[in-house]
Amino acid sequence: MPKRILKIIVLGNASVGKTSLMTQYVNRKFSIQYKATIGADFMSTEAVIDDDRITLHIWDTAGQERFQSLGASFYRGADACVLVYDITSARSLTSLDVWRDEFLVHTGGKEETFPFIVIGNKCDKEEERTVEKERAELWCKSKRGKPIEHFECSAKTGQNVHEAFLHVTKLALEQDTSDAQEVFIPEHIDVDHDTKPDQGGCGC
Amino acid sequence: MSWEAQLRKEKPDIKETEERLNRFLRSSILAPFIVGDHVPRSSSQECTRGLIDTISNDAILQLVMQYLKNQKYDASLAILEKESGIPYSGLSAEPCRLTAVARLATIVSDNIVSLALDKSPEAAKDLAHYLTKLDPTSSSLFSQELSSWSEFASNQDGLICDNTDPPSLSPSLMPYIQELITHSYVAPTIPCHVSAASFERIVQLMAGCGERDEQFNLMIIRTYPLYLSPMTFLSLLFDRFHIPPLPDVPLSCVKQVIKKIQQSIISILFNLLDHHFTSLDLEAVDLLRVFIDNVLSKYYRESAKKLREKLEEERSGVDPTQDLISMRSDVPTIKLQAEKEETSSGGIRSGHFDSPHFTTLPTSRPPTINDVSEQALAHHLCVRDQMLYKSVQLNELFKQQWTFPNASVVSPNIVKMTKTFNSTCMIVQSSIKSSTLDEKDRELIIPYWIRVGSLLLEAHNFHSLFAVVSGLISAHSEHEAMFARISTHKRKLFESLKTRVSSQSGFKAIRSALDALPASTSAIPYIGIYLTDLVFVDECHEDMVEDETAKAELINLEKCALYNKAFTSVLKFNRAEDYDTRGQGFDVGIEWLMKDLLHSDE
Repeated sequence: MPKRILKIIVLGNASVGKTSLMTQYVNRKFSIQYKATIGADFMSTEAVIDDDRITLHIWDTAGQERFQSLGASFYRGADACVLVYDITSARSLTSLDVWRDEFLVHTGGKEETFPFIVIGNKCDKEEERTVEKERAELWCKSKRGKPIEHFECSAKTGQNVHEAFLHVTKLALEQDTSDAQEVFIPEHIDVDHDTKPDQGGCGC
Repeated sequence: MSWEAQLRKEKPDIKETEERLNRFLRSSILAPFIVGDHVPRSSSQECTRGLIDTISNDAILQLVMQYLKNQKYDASLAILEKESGIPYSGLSAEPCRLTAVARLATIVSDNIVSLALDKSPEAAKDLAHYLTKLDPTSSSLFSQELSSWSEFASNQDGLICDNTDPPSLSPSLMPYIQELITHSYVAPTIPCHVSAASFERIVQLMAGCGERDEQFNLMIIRTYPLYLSPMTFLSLLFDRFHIPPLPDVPLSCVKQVIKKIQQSIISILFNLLDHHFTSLDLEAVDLLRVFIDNVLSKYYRESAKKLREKLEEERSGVDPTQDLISMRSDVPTIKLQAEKEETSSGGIRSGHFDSPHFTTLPTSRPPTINDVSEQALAHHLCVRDQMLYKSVQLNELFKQQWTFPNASVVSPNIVKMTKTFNSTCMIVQSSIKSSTLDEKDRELIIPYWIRVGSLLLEAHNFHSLFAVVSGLISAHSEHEAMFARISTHKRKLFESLKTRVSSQSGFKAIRSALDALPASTSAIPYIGIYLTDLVFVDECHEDMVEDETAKAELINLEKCALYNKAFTSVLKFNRAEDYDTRGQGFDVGIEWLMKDLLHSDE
């Protein structure tokens, strides 16, 4: 059986902690040995679901959210989309509508079938919370199409991060099976000629 | 045979060396120590004058060594005794003897340090040896077995080094160096090998008495605001400047070291003003001025004067955060289509506008983008973008602050660059969608933007090029039929432009193109790429690193290095020549175009 590659993209306002969530999931723990290879399209990691080894490519827009330049190549062939907001910023939740619409416009995706999940990040900052869990769940329920699962996570402590990504991987896998579109994603990305391929298995 | 040649001989002629040394010594600080009639004083006068000017420190040092070797230790003492008339063997005479020895030691010990740092450990070792013999009381300082060098290297607190090999210095010299290090005089290692350190240590590495590592210093100057306020940083530098003399060592012994440290601090201050002036708040500028006027001017008058001038020059410079609208009057405006014949020759950079020309557009209809030539528009975009790009300051790029709610205050120019990018992108899209266009104009509008894009590429303006191409790509999906009608040539051109700004492989195309250009080229990068890099650097690397042995938190210098790398890319072209700004015409037609750029709110 060929190796399965799934493309997951992470969207949300700037500074909600998208990159932290990804690095928390891909790398689990920050350490001095970890040298991020900057300049690649995505972070890569492996997941095992039902004994199948799956390669995940997680795409992030970090730092460029405000440039209207996210080209087709960013969205093309996505199998699932993670929408991230910050529980201490109500605006970041309302912005998810924009991000979701943007995604659907670019992919021409069908609202009813495309898998999304919503992550409320920074749940370690309970005392600064401005978005109640119920409110976010209400947002999820208000959307048509597949039910959107909601997770509250903390990229800082790692709480719930693994669970959320596992869930979205499963959704992406279902999507990939039902929609057997060929997606070409190169196996190896060597972007920044100054940087060596990193040892952590992460191509961020 | 010349002095130098003589000294380089494996077995120098001691007799001749001694004679030359004596001639030299008579006119130097060592003169009081020299006795004996074998070289008449009078004869030395004329031949020493030239020597002092030409003799190098190393030569003096070797002469001193050879002299001491030749005289043997006892003879040296005897000479000293005879010269001063004080019996050195007696305990009561100790202070006088020490004074005399210290004077000799001045030259010798200064040279020990410089020799050690110049990687001549053997010579330094020998000198340390003789110095110890000359002055038994200094034995506690120089010859005690304090610790071996390797032990020292592994026990340093405040430092984590990639390279744990001890520097290649002679072990017998180590106790002496150790003493200097203990008192923070000497940086114990090469800065680029350090991966984490406390800020006190970092300042020691920046201003040590060894060779300055300018790259390391620049990196710290650019990245210190990640960790310290300008006030704290300046205070650390000033503390280092005021490094106290060692309690047990004659001042003369460390004089040279202190001087080198202080000169390093001065050089750092110059760099700070040159590269990162805007990081300094008003308080810090005041502190710096007080330091220059009250401290520096006493010891280094010339440097103080230059530094003060530099400070004033930077202060009177253009406020980088000024509003774009107020800058607008300086932006050369562009010409109208009617003058296309005059202006269309050549690319943007060579575009040449001879005389101011005032033209008004027909008032009967709103002006359209077709009233402006491609060259003129591309030229205008280049000048405007470059003005903004050159205003970007380092401190706008820290800690992802351009994404903060108060971004327009803390990263004003990054926000403006984003806005101009988006506006350009929107204008391209809306001009294609525009309902006021008749069928004929519609046919022209896409090729028009493609031509603008190719001119921007020629001018290396990747900022607006990417915006224009993004706008075209967005419009493409909605207006496929229109795109299908453009000529094959233009379609090829469009495809090629898309490749040049492709986001594939982390924007490899743009990165390589920018990397290949020399920094002196007038160019504007698409800074979004580097903003992404900065987010990854910021989020994927810890600010502090745990030092297990010292149980302390140290600054992660690897993070600083990555930050610095991204900074270097962002600012690569910000000192390049300006685009040609000779076009001084005033154009009301561009007003409608610019107002979106100026006032658009995301």
